[in-house]
Order: sequence, then structure tokens, then C-alpha cells
Amino acid sequence: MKVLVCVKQTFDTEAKIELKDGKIAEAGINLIINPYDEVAVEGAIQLKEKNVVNEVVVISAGADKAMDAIRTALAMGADRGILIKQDTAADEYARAVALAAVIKEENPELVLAGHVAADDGSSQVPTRIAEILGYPHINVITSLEIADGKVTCSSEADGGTQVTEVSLPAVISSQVSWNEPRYPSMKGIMQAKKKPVSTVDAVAADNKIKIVEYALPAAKQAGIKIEEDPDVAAAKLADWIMNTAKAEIKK
Amino acid sequence: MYFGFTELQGGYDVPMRIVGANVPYEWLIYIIMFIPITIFLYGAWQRIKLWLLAKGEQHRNDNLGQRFLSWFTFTFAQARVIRKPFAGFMHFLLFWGFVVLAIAAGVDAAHFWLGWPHIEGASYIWFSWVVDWLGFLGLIGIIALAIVRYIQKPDRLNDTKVSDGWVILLVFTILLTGFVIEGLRISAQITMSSTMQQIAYERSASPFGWLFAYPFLNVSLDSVLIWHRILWWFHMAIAFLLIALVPFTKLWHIVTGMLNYFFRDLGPSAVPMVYNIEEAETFGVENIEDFGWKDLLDLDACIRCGRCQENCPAYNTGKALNPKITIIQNMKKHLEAKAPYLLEAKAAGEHEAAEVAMTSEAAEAVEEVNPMEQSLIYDIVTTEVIWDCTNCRACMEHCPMFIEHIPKIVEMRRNLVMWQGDMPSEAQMAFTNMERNYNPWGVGFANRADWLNERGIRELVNLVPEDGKEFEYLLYAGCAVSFDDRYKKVGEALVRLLDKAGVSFGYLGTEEYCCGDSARRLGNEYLYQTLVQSNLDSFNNYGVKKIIVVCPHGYNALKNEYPQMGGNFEVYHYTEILAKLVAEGKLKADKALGAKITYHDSCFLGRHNKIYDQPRQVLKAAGTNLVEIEKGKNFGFCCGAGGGRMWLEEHAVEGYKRINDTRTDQLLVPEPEMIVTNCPFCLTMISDGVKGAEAEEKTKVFDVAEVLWKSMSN
Ligand SMILES: Cc1cc2nc3c(=O)[nH]c(=O)nc-3n(C[C@H](O)[C@H](O)[C@H](O)COP(=O)(O)OP(=O)(O)OC[C@H]3O[C@@H](n4cnc5c(N)ncnc54)[C@H](O)[C@@H]3O)c2cc1C
Ligand code: SF4
Ligand code: SF4
Repeated sequence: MKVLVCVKQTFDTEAKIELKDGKIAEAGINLIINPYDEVAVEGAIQLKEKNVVNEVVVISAGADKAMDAIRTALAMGADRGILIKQDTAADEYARAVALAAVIKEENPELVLAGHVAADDGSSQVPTRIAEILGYPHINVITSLEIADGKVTCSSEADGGTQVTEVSLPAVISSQVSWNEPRYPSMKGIMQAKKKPVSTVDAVAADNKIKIVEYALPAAKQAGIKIEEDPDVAAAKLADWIMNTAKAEIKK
Repeated sequence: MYFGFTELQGGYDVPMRIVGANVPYEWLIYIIMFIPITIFLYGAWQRIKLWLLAKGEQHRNDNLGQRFLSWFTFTFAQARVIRKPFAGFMHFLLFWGFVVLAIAAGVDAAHFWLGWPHIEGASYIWFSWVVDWLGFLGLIGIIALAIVRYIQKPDRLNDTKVSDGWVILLVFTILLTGFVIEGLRISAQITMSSTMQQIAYERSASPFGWLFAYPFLNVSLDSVLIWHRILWWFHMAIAFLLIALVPFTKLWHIVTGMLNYFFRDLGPSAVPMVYNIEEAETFGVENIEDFGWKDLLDLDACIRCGRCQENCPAYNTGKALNPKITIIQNMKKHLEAKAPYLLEAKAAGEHEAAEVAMTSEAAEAVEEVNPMEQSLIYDIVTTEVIWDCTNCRACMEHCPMFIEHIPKIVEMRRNLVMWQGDMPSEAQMAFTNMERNYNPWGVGFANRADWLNERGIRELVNLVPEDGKEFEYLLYAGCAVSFDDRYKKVGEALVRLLDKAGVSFGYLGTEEYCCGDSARRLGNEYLYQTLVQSNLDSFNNYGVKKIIVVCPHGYNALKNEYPQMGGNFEVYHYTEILAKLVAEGKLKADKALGAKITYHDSCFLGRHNKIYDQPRQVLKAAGTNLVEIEKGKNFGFCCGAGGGRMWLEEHAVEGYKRINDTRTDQLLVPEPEMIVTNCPFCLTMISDGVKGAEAEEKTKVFDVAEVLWKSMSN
């Protein structure tokens, strides 16, 4: 059985985002595998270790740099990679179309993905892929079991857990709490260098959305610190709230 | 001591050493002696063959002069051994007793084989007197050591074996029978002497042998002579037995000890480098034979004195790690069990190794477990033990044999991390953080210099990439100053002090990276080397020559380990600089604090780098009343955070406190107003400890720099 994992290369979650000419400045930003996708890769490798599947293929759509994300997944233990070369300005629709085309060709029994990308956070791509391929889809899963051509997953539902069963092939997207992704060993990294990665061009698809503007959140204002005994401090604070911050008190 | 039987020898007046008087065929021993010597050599070769199984590379043939000196001092002055006051001194006596007795015996053999002349007259009396005294002191030594092991029973000797007793008994019997033989001979001598002068000679030459003569004075001369003869042969037999037994018993430490004094690591405290890591085919040590020869020699050198165990913070808080037993001795047993297979495989040629292991005759001799199938890191040492170590260096500091525990542990961690990919998830988190944001906390690296603004000291600092001004010293602030809110205050105090003293210093901000110490000591050598390279590129880019480091871990790395990768800078810990500025009068405390304080010697400043005095000088200059605690300086007990353990959870073992709480209790004994540290990790661990002990009201935890800054009106 073959599993295909969609991995996206995203900004490091701690990266300092700055805008330059209305766009996100990429210089000095470290790129990582989307943390949710790392979980999906780990999940796939664990299935392989349990001999449930025999091949783990990672695919990523993006610029040449995305090769690093593929190599990291290979170092963790995936078997093979496919880089779909695509403009980084592609939207969720175009990405899903490109990915779905390759998935169709590869024809895996299971497609794993992260449920959301840490950068744009739109949570659409796996759902769209499932739609394009006409596969069943379970989102935000925290466990997965495969038996008799069926996948059973738990996923987070509002205030509880939902257990869902679908038949294969299917698209499943992961929540971070599914597992703890492994740290690639040097052995893994060395082996990854020898694992095959093919490169294909993305099938053409026009974006359906247009990003009009990026803006950074307003800088947090420095707080004030009143260092006095509690009675004096309380009076000063009340004064500050009323007269400096000019808070409106609603009754 | 060996004055003898003048009448029997035909009589002469000059005192001299006569061997074999009253012992027909005495000369036979000079022939027989080749039997024990042959057995000794055979046994020694069996041990050496084990060391030669090592596949790892280790070079210890540099600095021969210094090595010779090391061998000489640590063997003959027993400089490490006597650090343990009582047992060490008793060993010193036993050692010298045996050395001198061996010289005396050697003089006899040389007389027989090489025709050396007898020692005569006054020189003989002196010679005999010295031999007699040292033999006696040796006897005292062995008795005292037996008392320590069997009556005092310190915990460090918690693995006494039957063979320990036999060896003590053998040594004791050799020394005792020596004196009894002498006593018998002297008593015969007294009976036979023709002049009082001869008896007086005896007395001055053999002050202790003389005492042993008393019981025999009333025994008939014939019986004395017969007993003398019998005991003499018995004495020789057991002395030869001892020689033959050396390679097969703990006595082997006589040889391995000297080898270890010669081949010990002479360099500063540093983890061995992995060169050409990009091309490496395996990482760290997975099998016992992957170690280097010196590491395997170390296993043979361990005398099970337990000094490492006694000082190990992990052992003392009930962890699975015990440097003596669960590291060194378990590895030794494993090597011994595995060696027959490895030797057979080696003889048969490498490619057949596996098959040999299966069909080996040795396999039948071994019970159920085949040592070839046992894993060093999983079955023998175990991962729990490997991760328990804080790299505090107490074991290496106190080991009388200079055994190198930390490098072995780090090698096994390297295999776990870089080869097996098996590590605690907290370690994984720390690695990812260091990899992506160049600090173990994982805060965005772009914010590395933000602490300057947060602490309001931006204008006091030459942030070189922005300000571009010349500087004499680079202030390597490190990750803790950059990202740990508590430690930012220490960074601030230090900056203010340097500024006040007019020191010219620059700071690299976001072009400074994690020193890599935690990565390296947790076994991630690859990540460590990547970080070092980034720092070296930065340092070289800005023409750095002198560096002041805040964190002792960074200090140790930059000073002792970066040179392995070509780093060539003058590196100072900030306490060294402050002590110098205080001594030069550039920093003057004018508000003497007077507070009662205790000081915690961090492992990486203390044992790893022997900086004990400078921080104390600074604290004294600040007018504090420093009370030394029991476990200070090189006996300092770890805070629990070294060796990358800062990032791993410590689970208290039932019946024990955690390492940091144990250390805090020691520091709280004098009820100080402050506990002062010099390391961000220690500051965190001990602050937690003080909180845990609910002593926060009475005792505050500060860093040396903060204390000095507080003592100055600004
Ligand atoms: C974290 C997160 C981020 C997301 N970000 C984005 C984003 O950036 N852009 C984006 O486009 N989407 C976003 N989505 C939406 C995502 O694409 C949705 O999951 C998906 O589009 C809708 O499918 P659903 O199964 O979740 O909801 P559904 O259950 O299908 O319901 C969604 C809506 O469809 C309509 N609907 C459903 N059933 C009926 C019915 N029987 N009759 C009439 N109306 C009906 C209702 O209006 C309902 O509110 C995000 C979702 C998540 C969880
Ligand atoms: S370095 Fe410290 S913790 Fe590690 S074994 Fe030695 S004494 Fe124990
Ligand atoms: S390792 Fe050193 S200190 Fe520890 S028991 Fe052996 S000889 Fe003693």
C-alpha cells in the first residue's frame, strides 16, 4: 500500500515578519516543514514501521527551495519525493489542482496532509484535493487506523471527539496532537541524500483569488508600571484609566 | 633488615646484605622467578589484546615530556590518590612500602644475575633502615585499607568482591611474613653473635624486624633456623604468586594506573572532535569496540574506588547512573564477555565475523546471552544512564586514575542522536530550536538583540553590525542573556559594569549564535559544528580577537572546544574580567553589602576550567560576607543543568530530591541572604530550588555581576 504525504514549506513559526513594498520580506527568514505536515509525515512513517504500508511518498508544490522540506521528510524516513515546481504566488485552488494532478498519476491508497498551513492558515488544500479527486476526506485527525480497506480516524469536534470511518482511497488531514514527529538522525539525513526525488512542472491553473494587501498587526503599546504601595497605586491606576486612557465606563 | 647470619656465612665484621643465609638452594628463586614473570607477561598480553580491539582512533603520543612528568608525579607522589585524605595516604604508604621492597628484591636479583656488589657498611645500615621502615608503613597501609573496606565501609565501596579480600590478605601476608622471617633471623643472629656490636648493628638496621625477634628469643636455635627456612620459601612463593596474579586481579591497576598517568588527556576540558563529519559513515559509539584504545584501557584502570560515584550528582539523587558501576564496570564486563568472539572474528577476518560469532566454541561457554547480540547502549549501559549525566566532571576530577567518563557518555549520546535517532523529546525540541532560531529556547533569532532595549542599555553598547565602531573585546552575551528574562538583568549589570570601567567592547546581536554546548553535550555534534561555524564566520568577519563570555558553558566551548574548529581567540569569563577591573581599581564598590552569602561554583567554570578564585575576589570586593559551604570548589555539587540536561525534565526518584533541590539545600545551610552563581543555568535551577524550599523570603539568588553592581552607587 502506498501513502502520499503533502508537505508545504512554510516560514519558521518564530520568524519575524516584515513587509517590504507591500509584500512579505523573505530575506533572513528560515523555512521549515509546516509543523502539521511533519505530523502527517510521522504518521505515514509509523504506518510503514507497522508494515501497514510499504511506500511513503512526499510531494510538495513550490519553489526549488521546497526541496529542503522534501529532504527533511526523506531524512525522517519517507522513501521518495516529488517536487512540483509552482510559482509561490499560487493560491489554494491552484495548489490543490497541481497536487491533485500528481496524486492522480501516483494513485496512492491514502493521501495524508496537515490540516492547516502555519503561514496563510487557510485550511483549504486537503479539502479541495479530496473534492477534485472525488475521495472521502477526514479533517483534523488525532488518530488513524487502517483495516480491511477502510480508515478509521478520531478527530476533534466541537467539545468532543468524532470517530469517522471512510473507505480507501481517502484524503486525511492531521492535527498536531496526532503524534510527535521524530528528529531526523544523521543516518536518516545521509540516507535521504540517496533517495530519489523527481521534479515535475505544475499543471496550469489560474488563481481564483487576489491578495489585495498585507498589513502587520499594530505594534503593542508599552504598558505603564505603577510602583507604589497598593492604596496609592490603586488611586493612581484609577486616575490613569479615567484621565489618560479616557476609558468609557458602561453601566 | 637483611643483615645476616655472619657465623653461618663464615663470619665477617662489616654489616652487609646477605641473601639466602640459612636457605640452601636459595639461588633457585632467581631461576624460578621467571615462572611468575612469564605468567605476568602472558596475562598482560591478554589484557593488551582487549585494548587493541578498539576501532576508534585516539592519539596520545604527543607531548612526551609532559606525559613523562605526569606519569612520574601521579605515580610516585600519588598526587591524585592522596586527595582522599585517609585512604589516599594509606595507599601512599602501601605504595611506597612496595616500591622500596621491590627495589630491595631487585638489588638481590641484580646481584645474582648481573653481579652487582653487595651494599656494605654504613650505607647498608641506612638502606636496611629505610627498607624496614617502609615495609612497616606498608603493613600499616594495608591494614588501614582493610579497615576502611571492611569496618568503615563507606558507600563508595559498595561493590566489594571476595577477590578484594583475597588480594588484601595476600599483600598483608607477604608483608607480615617478611617481618616474621626477619624476626626469626635476628633472633638467631642474637643467639649466635660474638660481639655486642653486631647486635647493635641489627638494631639500627632493622628497627621493626628487631621487634619481631622478641617472641623467638626463647625458642631453640634449631627450631628458629628451620622455621626461618620454611617461612622464607613460603614468603617467596606468595610473593611470586602476587606477581603472577597482577594481570588477573585488581592488582593490574598498578600497570594500568601508570599507563593512564602517561596517556591521560593533557588538554583542556573538551569533548573530542568529530572531524569531517560530512563524510562520516557512522556516528558515536554503538559497540564497545567502537571506542578508542585509551577508552578501553580506562576500563582496565578502574580500581572501583568509588570516588566518582561518591561525587556524582546523578548517583547521589538515586538515578540509574553510577559512573563506577553502570558505566565503567558494566562496560568492562561487557568487553570481557564479548572479547573472545571479537578476537576470534579478528583472527578469522572481518567478513566472517558474524558467522564466527554463531559457531564459536566460546558461545557454548557463555550462558543464555550471547554478548555479540547485546547492545552496548540499550542492554549494557542503557539509555537511561546515558541521559542521566550532567557532564559535571566530578567523576573525572576525583578519579585517581584519570578515567575519562564524559567523552564516553557523549560518544554514546552521539550514536543515539545521530545514528539511532533516539532521544528524549525535550532534547529534540531543544535541537529544533537551536537549528531554526540559534537558541535552545526557540525564540525568533531576529529578536536576539532586543534585550538591550528592554533593559534600557542600548546606548551603552556598541552593537557592531549597526554601530560599526571599533572594539577591543567582543561581548559574547549568549542565549540566556538574549532570551531568558531573568538573565537579561545579569546581562544588563555586566554591560553597566563594563561601561563604567571604560572597557571597549562590541556586541554582535543577531549575528551572534548559540555556542552549541548543549547540542554537543546532548550528542548532536552535527548541529554543534553548524553553530560553531556560524559563530566563527561572524567572529572572523568582525576581526574579533578577545572575547568576554557570560555563560560558563559558552566560555568552555569558545575557549576549549572552538580551537578544534580553528577558533583562535583570547577567551575570558566575565568574572575574570571583573576581578581584573576590581584589582586595577577601575571598579570600586562603595556600598559594601555586608550580606551573608553562599557561592555556588558552577561545574563549567569550576571543575572544567578551574576558575574558583576570581568570582570570590569580586564577591569580596563587593563587601559580602561569603560563607564557604561544605561542597565548594572542586567538590561543588552540580545544579543539574549541565550536559544539556537544562532542557530535559528531571524526575525525582522516590526517597531522593532532585539535583537542583539537593544542591540548594547545601547552599542554604548557613542561612544566607543571597546565593550567588555565575551561570544562567545554575541561576534558574537554584532559583527553582529556593522556591521549592520555600526560602524565597529569606534568600535571594543573584549572579556575581549583579552583586558587584549592587555594591556600587551609580
Ligand atoms: C482553521 C480553518 C481555516 C480556514 N480558512 C479558510 C480560508 O482561509 N478560506 C476559505 O475559503 N475557507 C477557510 N476555511 C473553511 C474551510 O475551507 C471549510 O472547512 C470548508 O470550506 C467548508 O467545509 P465544512 O465541512 O467545514 O463546513 P460545512 O459543514 O460544509 O458548512 C459550511 C457552510 O456551508 C453552508 N451549508 C452547509 N450545509 C448546508 C445546507 N444543508 N444548506 C444550506 N447551507 C449549507 C452553510 O452556510 C454552512 O455554514 C477554514 C476552515 C478552518 C477549520
Ligand atoms: S559527569 Fe557528573 S553526572 Fe556525569 S557521570 Fe560524572 S559525576 Fe556523574
Ligand atoms: S572510575 Fe575512577 S573514581 Fe570511579 S571507581 Fe573507577 S577508579 Fe575510582
